[in-house]
Amino acid sequence: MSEHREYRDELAAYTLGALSLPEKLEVERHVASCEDCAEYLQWLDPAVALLPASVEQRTPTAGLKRSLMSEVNADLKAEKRATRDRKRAEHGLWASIWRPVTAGVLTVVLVAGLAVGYFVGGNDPESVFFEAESSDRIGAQMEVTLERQGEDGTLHIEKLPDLPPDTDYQAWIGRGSDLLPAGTFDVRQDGEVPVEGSLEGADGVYITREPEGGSEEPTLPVLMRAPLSE
Amino acid sequence: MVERKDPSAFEVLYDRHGGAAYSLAYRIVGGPEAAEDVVQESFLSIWRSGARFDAARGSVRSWTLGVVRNRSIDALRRQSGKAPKLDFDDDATLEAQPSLELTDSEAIRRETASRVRGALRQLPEAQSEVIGLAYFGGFSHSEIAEMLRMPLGTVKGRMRLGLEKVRLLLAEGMGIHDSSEALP
Repeated sequence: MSEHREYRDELAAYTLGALSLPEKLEVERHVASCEDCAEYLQWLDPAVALLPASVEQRTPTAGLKRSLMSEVNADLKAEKRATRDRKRAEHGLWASIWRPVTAGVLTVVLVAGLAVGYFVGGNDPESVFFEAESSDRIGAQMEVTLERQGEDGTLHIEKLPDLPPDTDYQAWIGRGSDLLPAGTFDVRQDGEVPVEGSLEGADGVYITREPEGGSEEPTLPVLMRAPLSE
Repeated sequence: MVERKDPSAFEVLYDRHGGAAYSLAYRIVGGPEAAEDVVQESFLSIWRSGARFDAARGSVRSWTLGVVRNRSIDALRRQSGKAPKLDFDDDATLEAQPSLELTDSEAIRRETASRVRGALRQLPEAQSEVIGLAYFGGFSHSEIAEMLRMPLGTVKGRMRLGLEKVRLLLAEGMGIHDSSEALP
């Protein structure tokens, strides 16, 4: 007999998608730490998974597949075209570099650029990397590194779990007891996200899940924390 | 496979689950054109996002149909004032379909559908109603409570009792025989 039997009504509503976002996230948080409820949820899943099969089974028109595959093939063509154009542009650049006159001009520009870069860019702050720590089960699935370059920060993200509809990931800059909004994001695949705001005086960068568009202050627990100390 | 942007793999995904996806979308949005739009939108989002399927979350089919269900509910909400169809009684229409026109996979789909409907039909009306409103109508438990003028706890209790009964009936009748067959 489960000691969390009273929680089962919530779990049933959760599997049917009948909870509001805060309730849904609360259930997820509870299930992450409650073996009994996780087991019950897993047991209930097949019933909900089969609900789509209860409807009248219909056959879509052949035109739907044609249209879908035509979009897919158009996407592939566009990607190939973009790759080809990129390669051509690179090839064209190198070809022009080898032209003697152009090469002479570019050499002058390059030397000038390096000189300017030495004097101006020589003071660019170096990148320092901080590994983020996970705060819960969802955060544990992600791999996040914060790159700090002076006052600027970039989150390098891998294995970001897909979000439920109507939610975004949101970054926060921590200063003392305050968490300041630093931009929302939904990186579908691995990627980089700039931290919006200065890291001057900050003691960490945090990530939460928030309702779509983000929040003024965190409404849900922190998933990841990247402390700004080496 | 879809993550690698392999169009043949994507075609297989559609061939296997497109019919069920269309049926679900049709049930929720209530018409062939809107259902086709939803299916196209759902499969393209899977293709374009290189969506990652997490085996720990269930079967590819459940995952794909989850995407379709969410898109259908979104489409339904965009169609202001259009109420979803909420009954489970589709047998008459199904039986009117000439069986010779069915492929094997369609026949299996329809057989499964018939069994699941059988399980749902054994539920008290009050339980199947709240399950249908939530899953196919996209209503939250509080919206259902307001709509049916009953306490929130009653709605959630009916959802749980209905789902538990469906789960037990399915385990009994559809060969879901595992260690968790009994209520945990």
